[in-house]
Amino acid sequence: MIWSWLLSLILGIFYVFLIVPLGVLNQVFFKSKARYQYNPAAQSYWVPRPAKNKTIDMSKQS
Amino acid sequence: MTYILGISAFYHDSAACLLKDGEIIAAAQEERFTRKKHDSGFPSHAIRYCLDEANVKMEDIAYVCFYDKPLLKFKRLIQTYLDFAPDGFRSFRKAIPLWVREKLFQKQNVIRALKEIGGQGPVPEILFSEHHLSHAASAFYPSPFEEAVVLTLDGVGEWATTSVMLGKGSKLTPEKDIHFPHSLGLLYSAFTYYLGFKVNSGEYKVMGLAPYGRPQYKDLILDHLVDVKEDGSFRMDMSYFGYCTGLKMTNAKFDELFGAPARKSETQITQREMDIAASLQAALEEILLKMTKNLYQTYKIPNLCLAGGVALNCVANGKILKESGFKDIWIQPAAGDAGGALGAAQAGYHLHLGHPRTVHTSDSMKGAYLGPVFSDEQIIERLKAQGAVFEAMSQSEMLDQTAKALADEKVIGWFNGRMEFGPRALGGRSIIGDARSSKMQSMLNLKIKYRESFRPFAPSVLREDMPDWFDLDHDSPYMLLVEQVSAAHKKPMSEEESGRFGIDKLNVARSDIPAVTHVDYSARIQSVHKNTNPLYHALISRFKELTGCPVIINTSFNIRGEPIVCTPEDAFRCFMGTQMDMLVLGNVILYKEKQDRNLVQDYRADFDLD
Ligand SMILES: [Fe+2]
Repeated sequence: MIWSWLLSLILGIFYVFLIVPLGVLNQVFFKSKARYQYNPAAQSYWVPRPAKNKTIDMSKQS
Repeated sequence: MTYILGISAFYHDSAACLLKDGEIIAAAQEERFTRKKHDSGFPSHAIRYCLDEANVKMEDIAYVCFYDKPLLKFKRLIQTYLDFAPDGFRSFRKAIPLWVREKLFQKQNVIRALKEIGGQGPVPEILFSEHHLSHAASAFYPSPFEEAVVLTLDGVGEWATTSVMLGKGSKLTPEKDIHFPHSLGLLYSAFTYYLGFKVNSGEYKVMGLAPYGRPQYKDLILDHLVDVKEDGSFRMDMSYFGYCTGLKMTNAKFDELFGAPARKSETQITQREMDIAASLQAALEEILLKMTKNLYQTYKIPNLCLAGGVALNCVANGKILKESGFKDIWIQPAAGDAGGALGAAQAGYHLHLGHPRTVHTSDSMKGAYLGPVFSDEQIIERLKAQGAVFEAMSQSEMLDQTAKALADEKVIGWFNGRMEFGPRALGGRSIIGDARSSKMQSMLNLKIKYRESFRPFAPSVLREDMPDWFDLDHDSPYMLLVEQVSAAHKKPMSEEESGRFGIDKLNVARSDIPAVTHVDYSARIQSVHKNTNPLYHALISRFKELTGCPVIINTSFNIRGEPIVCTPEDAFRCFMGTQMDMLVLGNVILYKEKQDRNLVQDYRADFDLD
């Protein structure tokens, strides 16, 4: 119980002081929300694979 | 000799697959061993089985291929919280501790689990495929095509929810994707949730419900929820959905659009739910047809391979085969994430190690019979230990007795050969019955499967007789294509009958094989081939000799919520726990009336409803 509460507190601090400010900056300056929205001007919603990602390196976790 | 072990785990439907020089030796889902439906834990049992099947040890394995990239998934999660901040703390609080444990330390977790299996020996090098590369590899490499367009659609992998890759020889090249949160799999799951079924397992119920409804909400879906471009690519209006940051799939705005909150599970299903299911199915088909038609026109390659959970939508698959322009399609039978284990291993072998590929004229899945097998001796020994009363006999005698019982409308548990890989029972672990019987559908549903009576059963038909009974002349060994019963075997409905609504309509005999004919005259067809399952083929042939009908009912050998049976013990328990009349394991037959009544156990409560 106390651990769960403590974890909530730590994650809450992390969320409020890191995720929220970073997120809001991202949303305002880099328009990061655009990809969640419709784009009437676009011909297609397909995202082409950039040439460097056409071969997938299986030795990496990312 | 190169052995490669593929693993999919930690999401849903964990599985393992073993390749020997590129050939699929064994594959199985963890749930079959642990008896926990859609078990997502590390597939230790499935791995042990694969090693045993090939008679090898962990140290003989050259590479272990994991089916996705955990760190990329973790990045997507964080990015999504950033994009939705300050919303989403409740989901963040719940998800992050789990994801930190699972994704950030996944490699270490996998190594530890492999060590537990392998003992003191060294752990093989671990490779990480990409989620949709695994799906695509599982669809292309075992396919009978030298060259194909590969389309994979599911809920979500790392970022991709929809991918197009081009396969040629042993090469598989990613072309383009649609990214999270825009996802046909998640759209379908959102409606599954809204209609009161379980996400990640109830989707096929929505598909089964659709033929009862009228697609009157289709425009509502296409006007408000999804924006579809001319080429079939799409985005969803996320203001209606809760899955990015909330803990629910749909939200209040969604409820408002459809005029009511989500249906509570296990409550009465009304015409409204049927209409919504029909509308969703129609919208999905329209999007998929637009997409596949455009892919055919863009790449001008005659073959299409499909995988990912959405490829289990066999109604849509039937339409793609007929209308997309592609001359031929092949669908991975384990299209969901279990099949990712197989794809990851194939990607490791052909893409990472660069080995060439042999294309087989049918396919390389061995009929999907890739799981454990039991000899008659093993079956007899295990049945004795259970206290079963049985009779061992010659194969010919077994076939005669079984075919005769089928014709007498008996319900039979059929346990033969290797267990299937993927969600469908294909005549290895099946419950079978007479498709001509008008009472079979409701009897099977209520007395054996203990599930809703609206769901239709699927037919197994001899491949050579298929065109006479269905409007389909294309191999469908994995029950992944839906087509109409042929006109010669349809029975017209009277005006009163066709005016009936919903489930009342199901009780009208609409064809010579009513037990497998859905209300719209469609059937989810399994073609049975002599070369991949000779015994099952022989059984249906005997049944045909007796009755003139080459079609039987085939449903999975389990009760509601239970994984398909794996061992003779599982089969015996299911046989005793239901009103099945007869059980056939190898050449051993058990009749219900001869069994000790004290061995009957109602084990329905052991499983959560699906
Ligand atoms: Fe997937």
